[in-house]
Amino acid sequence: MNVALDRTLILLIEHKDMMFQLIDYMDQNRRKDIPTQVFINSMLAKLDGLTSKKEVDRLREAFDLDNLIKTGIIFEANKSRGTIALQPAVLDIFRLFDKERVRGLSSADLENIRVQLEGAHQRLESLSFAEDNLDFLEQHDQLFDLLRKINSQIQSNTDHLQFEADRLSQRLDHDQALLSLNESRQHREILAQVKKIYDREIIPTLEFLNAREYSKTKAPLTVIDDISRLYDIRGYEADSYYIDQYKLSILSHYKAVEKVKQALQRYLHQERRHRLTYDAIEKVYLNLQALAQSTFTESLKEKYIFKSLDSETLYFYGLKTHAAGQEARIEWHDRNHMVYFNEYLIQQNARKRSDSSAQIKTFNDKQQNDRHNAIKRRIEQLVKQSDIKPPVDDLYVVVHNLLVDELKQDYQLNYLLYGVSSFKQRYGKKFKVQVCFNRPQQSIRYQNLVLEYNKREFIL
Amino acid sequence: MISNELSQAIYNDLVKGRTINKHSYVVKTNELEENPLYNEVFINFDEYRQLYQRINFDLIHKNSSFFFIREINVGDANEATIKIQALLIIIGRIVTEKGYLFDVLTDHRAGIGLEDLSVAMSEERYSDILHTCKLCMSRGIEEEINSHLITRGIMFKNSRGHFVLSDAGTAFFSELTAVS
Repeated sequence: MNVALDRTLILLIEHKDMMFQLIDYMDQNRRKDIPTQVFINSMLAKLDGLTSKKEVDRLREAFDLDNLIKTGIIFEANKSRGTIALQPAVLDIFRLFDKERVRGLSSADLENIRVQLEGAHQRLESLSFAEDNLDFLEQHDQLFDLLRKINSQIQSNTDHLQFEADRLSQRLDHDQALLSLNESRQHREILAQVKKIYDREIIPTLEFLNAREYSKTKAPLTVIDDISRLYDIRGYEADSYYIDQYKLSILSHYKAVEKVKQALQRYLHQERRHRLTYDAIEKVYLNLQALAQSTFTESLKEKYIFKSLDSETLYFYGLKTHAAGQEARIEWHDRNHMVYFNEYLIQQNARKRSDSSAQIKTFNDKQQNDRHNAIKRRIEQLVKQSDIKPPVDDLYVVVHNLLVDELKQDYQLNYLLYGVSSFKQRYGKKFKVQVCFNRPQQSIRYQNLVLEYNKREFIL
Repeated sequence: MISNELSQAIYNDLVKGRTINKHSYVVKTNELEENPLYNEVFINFDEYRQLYQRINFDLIHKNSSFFFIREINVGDANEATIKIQALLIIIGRIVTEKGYLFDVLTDHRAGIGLEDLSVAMSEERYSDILHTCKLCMSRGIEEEINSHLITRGIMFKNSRGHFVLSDAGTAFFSELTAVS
């Protein structure tokens, strides 16, 4: 069943959100047509949102592709490509409903207008201006249609630019933009949009509206002046006057567009600053990357880039290298520090005895349970409490027996060296320990280990 | 007239390879305030310059925003300055490449979080460069930033725990842009 054009249009206007979606799709994808599937999907989504079955049926019939083609709302349906194109006049009606969707004039659109004006001027110049000349009358009507259209387009273009400037400014002046990375990314994208509108719409519009600037091609307003003069010369003063009025009406938008330009200029400075910073960082980054990559091909000894960099190019060249760039810090963990400190002293004393180079002791927050140190502490205590007195024929044997008795299963032969060493440390100053270099050496065997040693006599 | 108290604090900073920035960040208020040490050097610049020259240092004032000292007749490019520069370039690249506003790095209320930096710096293209600069070999990126940028006053951590460029760090990028 067919639905008449007027009914279909009324339904489309009633449900204009669907048309807005389609217009947005075309604008975002810079297309004049839309895939049939996109249209069908938006229609189905629209129908799904309705509750009344009667309304659904009504819309299904009106928005049926065949019906839209028959009514001329869809003026082109390409089955092989699967696309449809909506009547531009219908789209323009919907754009008028929402300022956001009013289209601006691109430089190509403006150039097209200029070419049309020049064509009209040339054709009129070659015609005789007479009331009975049908060619002239046709051109005359066409000229005034064109002037009306240009006036309306420039008006829409100014509205569009003002709306866009307001919208973008509001978003850019949002103070919190920097506080989140995502918002800062959006901020930067909006700056890019400002730049695009400035370069592709504002500047071409101002050039279009500027009648004084000289360029290779005649300015459109100059062409309108020429046409007006032509009418005046040929005795059509009234028409000439109307043409001048159209020109003034078109020209009146110059100030409004200039204001938009000035409003956006500070954002352009911001955008330019960001672009320059971005370019500068990119340049030094690529340089650094090249230096790093060049090191991969050299010998392993030269794998760092330090030699490749010219010192004069370093911004902080000569900044003092100092280990104290980091502050010294002590972590004081919650534990019995006396135990750790004693243990540390034992180790330090052992090092002193062996004359080994000292190592820096570091503490961390892990418990230290060195079993050997605990045994060594016991040995020290045993030596201290022992009643070994000179003369002793073989100090090793005596200390060995003492440790075997006291330490029992904890005792290992290597603790004997520590025991004798502790003994000498404690009593060495008071009594004398004499080494006997007899061959063969003495030996003590304990749990599969053998210690061969030179006998030490402990004497007064 | 040089203030003894400030002069000692200035020496303590400069000799440890730190920069003295025009502004210092106050965590409690999340605001920047004028740095009295900077003002002290700025007002008595000639005297301080002479003072440091006598102990073999040039007192450098860069971009009208920070001071540092450079050893007179310093030899080849030292590792520390290369590390600082490499870290700054990579941090700047991460911010700009991801499409963030560069101002995120310079606004004391904003800054970039460690997580964002760590994720980006773990990419091979960045880690390769860092390794050739002897960075992030055994330490994490936070330690490297702390050690080379924070302790030297080239960056600071704001109250959100984000890294922000100080006057010295900002001056580095300003000069990059100016040169380009």
